[in-house]
Amino acid sequence: MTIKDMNIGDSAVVNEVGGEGSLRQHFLDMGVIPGTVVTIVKYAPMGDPVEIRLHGYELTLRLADCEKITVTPCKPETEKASADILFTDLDHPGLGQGGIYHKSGDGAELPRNTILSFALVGNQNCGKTTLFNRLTGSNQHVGNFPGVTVDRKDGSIKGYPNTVVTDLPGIYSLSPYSAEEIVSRDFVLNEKPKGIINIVDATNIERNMYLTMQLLEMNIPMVIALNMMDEMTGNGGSIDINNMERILGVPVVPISAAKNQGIEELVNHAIHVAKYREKPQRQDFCDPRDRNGAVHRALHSIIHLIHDHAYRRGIPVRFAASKLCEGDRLILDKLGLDGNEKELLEHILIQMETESGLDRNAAVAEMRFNFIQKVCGATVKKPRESREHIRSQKIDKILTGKYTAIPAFAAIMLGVFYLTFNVIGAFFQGILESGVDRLTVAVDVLFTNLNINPALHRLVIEGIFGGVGSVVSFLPIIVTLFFFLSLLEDSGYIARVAFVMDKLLRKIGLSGRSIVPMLIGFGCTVPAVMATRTLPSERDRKMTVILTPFMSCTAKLPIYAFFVDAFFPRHGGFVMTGLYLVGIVVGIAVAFLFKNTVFKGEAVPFVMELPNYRMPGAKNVAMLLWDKAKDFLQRAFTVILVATVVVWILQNFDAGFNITSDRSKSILALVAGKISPIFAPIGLNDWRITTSLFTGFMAKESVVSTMEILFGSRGGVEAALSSLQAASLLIFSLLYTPCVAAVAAIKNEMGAKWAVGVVVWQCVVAWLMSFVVYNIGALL
Amino acid sequence: MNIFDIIIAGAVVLAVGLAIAQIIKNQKNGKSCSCNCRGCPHSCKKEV
Repeated sequence: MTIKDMNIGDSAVVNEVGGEGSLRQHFLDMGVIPGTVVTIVKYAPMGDPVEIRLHGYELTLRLADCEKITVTPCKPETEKASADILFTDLDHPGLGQGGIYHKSGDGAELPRNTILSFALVGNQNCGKTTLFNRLTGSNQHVGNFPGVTVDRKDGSIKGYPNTVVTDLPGIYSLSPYSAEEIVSRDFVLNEKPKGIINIVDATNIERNMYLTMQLLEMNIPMVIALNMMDEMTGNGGSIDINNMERILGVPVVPISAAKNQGIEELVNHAIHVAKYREKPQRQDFCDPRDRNGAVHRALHSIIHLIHDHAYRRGIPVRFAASKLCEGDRLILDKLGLDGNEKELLEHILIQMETESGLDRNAAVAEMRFNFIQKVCGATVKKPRESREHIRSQKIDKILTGKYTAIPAFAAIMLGVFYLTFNVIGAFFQGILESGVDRLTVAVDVLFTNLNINPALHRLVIEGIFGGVGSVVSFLPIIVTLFFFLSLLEDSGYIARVAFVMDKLLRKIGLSGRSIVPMLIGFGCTVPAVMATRTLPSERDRKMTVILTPFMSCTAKLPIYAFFVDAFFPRHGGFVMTGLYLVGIVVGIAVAFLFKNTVFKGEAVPFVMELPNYRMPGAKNVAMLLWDKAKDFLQRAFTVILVATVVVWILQNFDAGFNITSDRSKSILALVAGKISPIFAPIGLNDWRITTSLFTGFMAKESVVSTMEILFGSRGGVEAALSSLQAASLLIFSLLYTPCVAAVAAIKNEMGAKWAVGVVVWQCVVAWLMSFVVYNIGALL
Repeated sequence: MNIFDIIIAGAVVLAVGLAIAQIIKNQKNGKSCSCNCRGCPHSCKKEV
């Protein structure tokens, strides 16, 4: 029997975890190991994926992955007996005492002016960002890790300018299977921070401590921040901190980052362990009594075997030994073992597998979880089912219910769009546009009074103010949209959306999380592309960015409205709806094409935690919005400024570089005239149409205004085109290159080559679809 | 051309030049990478 065969409410013990590679390791790291009790919570509305409960938290798995996990039915999990770890009482320092716990350091105190660097490490959804913001305040700097598209944040602890905290990505283990995991462990191994602050969600302690075990093995001074202690104690739970410290051999500090509790004590401990180089007192977690000591013997044998290599390479030996046990090729290569040693290593591992009855990965995972269960058994009084969890379940009855999930999602997204594009965002956009207009008029008057050269005057007013000003007016929309997105993401709702939509999106090669950026694309491609940053997979990010421009943005509405009104007045609604559907259908077709070609490869595993719903912190949201606004404004005043000036010059200078007011003589018209024969097969062989489409690259809204200028009037456009040509133009406008702001966003996320590729690709697709529409229409 | 033309022209050239320089800097090895340049293949370390 597999997990797929279980019904809602059933519990079973895991027998064997199938699959291979990164997916299987991810299962093991998330606690799906032989002997674990899993309970089916619910199925997604479309029947896939499934939500299961294990180790006190909820996890989603696809049915195809569930088929690989064999189970035996059992009763629901009951409380385990207390562990048999012996401990003695130890005084924990009172507030202000400091240092009673700490053992003397392995090395001398660091010199006074040493920068104390810390790595902030923890699972996703454990409050890491909130803690980072509490520690650093506004002293943050955002960048990215080299070579990968993973955000990096650095900042110094408030009041301690000689410190720097690096916020590492949310990870569940230090296995080398995702960019985030590799980045985190490479950071610790290569940059050698003076200390690690491991943030652990106290309400989900078993799963969180899996990472803690691996961090302890890195033998770097460390403190554990037990976050969300307010929730833990509020629901009747408690943790014997003194004994946990004694067992783990590192300071453990209870905190609530959201309520700003315990932060000062945490900082004091962190600085102390780093300054006095107090390394973890315990790194040995294998019990000689488990599995007849097979894992214990194997690990210690490997430690002896690789000791000299690990020392020479600067890799903590216990960490290296654990990773070799897991079959970590990166560590194996780094150690530089010779042939004989590798052979010996393999024999040790085979012997371990034979004696334990488990493969090497499962054996190591079980070793860690066994230790965790003993620690928790000795120190954790589990809370009753938390209020937050009960509340989450009630909310999920509607938001992930079989018949209510999708309507609820549609209502929420419609509400977000309405508030963004029609109410809040539109209101502030109006104010900003009005401000920009007033500034433009003021500068215009000033230039007139100063008798500024007409060409320069027009460049600044029409080109720079007109171009950059119209893009900057996007800012309130971006900020408002990200405000709502941040609320949805940080509250935990986006994880539910991914859960509900996964089956649908998997058909086009994406996972459920991609739905949100694509939906935002119906509003504006710029924030949609920026929102892909939250997607966990590089492949998914790229594919979602490429599909997003097919979701017709609001800037194209003036084009649709103009032509529908002029050429299809009696079928307006039908034509508009048809245009949106064409965009979606073409996007799906492109997704199928790319799924089997450019983005062919291993399916991204959908193993995702469903956290409790939480109210996002205002400060976190504010800092995110500030980041997004800065990002967008920087782009507006660099790429878009340059593009605006270039296009204006092309529109207003003739081939002899003389300024001209006759647009038909401009360089742009000349180029458009040369290119317009390409548009002959789609019925748009008119330099005025081509020129208008070019200006649409700056802003889609300008297509119509340019056409009106070049054709003389709206009536001129209606007289010059047939209905079939209008239809062809509509399809081309729907599908061709996004505006320069969107292209700049794509360039930011994926690099210049991809940005150029998207522009060319969109134009090709637009041309082909227009060709089909025009020629089929001509036959009818 | 009067003095204000020169000032305005100079300001425009400076603004465009700075924008181009920032774009180029975002593509190269940066010491303080404030570009948020996802996909940047180069080291993007903050100087402490």
